[in-house]
Amino acid sequence: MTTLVIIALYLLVTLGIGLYAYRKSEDNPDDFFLAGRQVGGIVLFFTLVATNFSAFFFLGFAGAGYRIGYSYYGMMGFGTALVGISFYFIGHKVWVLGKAKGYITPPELIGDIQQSDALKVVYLAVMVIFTLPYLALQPIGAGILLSQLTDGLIPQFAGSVILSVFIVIYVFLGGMRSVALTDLIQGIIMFVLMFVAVAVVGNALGGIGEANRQVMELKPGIFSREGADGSFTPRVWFSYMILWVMAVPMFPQMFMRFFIPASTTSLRTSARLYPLVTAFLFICPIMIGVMGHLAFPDLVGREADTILPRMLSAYAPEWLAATIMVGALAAFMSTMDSQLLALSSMLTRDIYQSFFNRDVSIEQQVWIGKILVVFLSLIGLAIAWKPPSTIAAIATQAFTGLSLLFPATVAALYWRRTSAASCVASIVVGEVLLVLLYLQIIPSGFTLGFLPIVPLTIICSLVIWAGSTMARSKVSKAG
Amino acid sequence: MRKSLLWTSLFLVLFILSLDFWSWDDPIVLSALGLPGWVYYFILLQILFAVVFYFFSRESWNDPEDQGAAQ
Repeated sequence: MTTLVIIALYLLVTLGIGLYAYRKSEDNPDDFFLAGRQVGGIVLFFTLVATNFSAFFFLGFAGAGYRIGYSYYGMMGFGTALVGISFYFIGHKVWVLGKAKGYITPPELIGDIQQSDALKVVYLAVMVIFTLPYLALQPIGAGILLSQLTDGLIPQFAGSVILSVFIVIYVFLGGMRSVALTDLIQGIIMFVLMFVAVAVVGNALGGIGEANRQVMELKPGIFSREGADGSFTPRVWFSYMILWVMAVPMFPQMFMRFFIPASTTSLRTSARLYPLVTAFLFICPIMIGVMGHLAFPDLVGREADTILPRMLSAYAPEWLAATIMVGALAAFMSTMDSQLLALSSMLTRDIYQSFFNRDVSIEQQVWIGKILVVFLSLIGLAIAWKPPSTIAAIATQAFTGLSLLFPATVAALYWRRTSAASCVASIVVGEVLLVLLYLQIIPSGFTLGFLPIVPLTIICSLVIWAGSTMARSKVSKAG
Repeated sequence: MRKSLLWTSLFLVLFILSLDFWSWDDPIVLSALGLPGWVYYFILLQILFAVVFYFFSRESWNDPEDQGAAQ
């Protein structure tokens, strides 16, 4: 009963925020999709954090702490801290261009600065292909969590439906303003509750230090650099260190946030705070996962991802465990609402407006965006009802698949000689190679022990360089 | 130009320090809170990165409108 009340309270707060945002909103795409480009520093920081740190941060990090150990912290912490650099090199430029020319979506910006519809469509296709399955996974995960939280009182699919309905209502009402404000609340909830969770679990086990020492005696591999399961080799470690800085800004829901700051100061403040969050926050769920070996020593495979709720059920009073797990729900919702809005804006602007109705009015754009929010969430629920096996496969490749947009994005933003055709070729070649690697048509030895992101980024960059140089020499000869 | 080289070098040094393969085989010593010493190394590295980034952004990341006004 306590759990249900806490969940209901949280959901009502998100609805209240949606209503508040609705009263503040104006009927134009800038306002609906980008909160009028008027988001201040603190809200921007929390919306970036809450959007980037999905429920994987709560459940997956703890699971990785259990399976791999503290090495996961070094890789995720420093790798994600570097994302601040992307906020400067990609985010700032995107903000300047967006403000000057009124861009709303990433494909719109990249296609327009290169004057190429083909590039816009390819860029859009990659973003949609890798975001849609990821979006579909959110209601599945949220449904499982809600069902666990209520001891099965709310069945998994009903949980997916309930949470999707709440998300759709507040996104429908207030668009990005709702999403950013709920992210602020959800981000604060995540921060505070994660520290509380570590303190409660550590205290129950006789102190964090004592618990760690006991785990060290049981499983010393958890404290090693390679990880308990040998996950990390130097080449894999290097790969991860460069993966996040390229992947994170290429998620459409993150990219779109570069359009929304009210000023340079807002984005700069967020970039400055980002490495501090990774330094102190990321260690918490991993610690809980590590300490989980004392209470649940025999979890295997995917069971490890349930270590956080298990530890809370074992060591925290019901009301506190429920409150903390609401933080995980918040993480699910804050990622899903942003993905819904990003996909809806791209389908409205880059498909409907670009190819079907160039004269669509600004009021109609908002309505189409709202209808698409509902439609996309229904697709998500349909997939959640009976998930095809390919969904998880595509989602696992999402980070690499989206990262392969990075070389074309940097070239389009910074290299004047870039040709649109070379950017298209770079993206297509990279994605095709990724698929061939995944299907093992290209043997894994091709990556030389690195993750695919390393060789594929080099190849994509070479394609842009060679293609642009050839295009330029042709133009010179023709001239 | 000289300053951008300085900032690039600083970020590069921090990146190389995150690839601390030379210490991977060192014996594990638990420090405060029972965490291995290298965890504190990474906490310190992230704080260092935050500090370097702060000074870099203070100098190089300005509002285009401010720059326009200055010109």
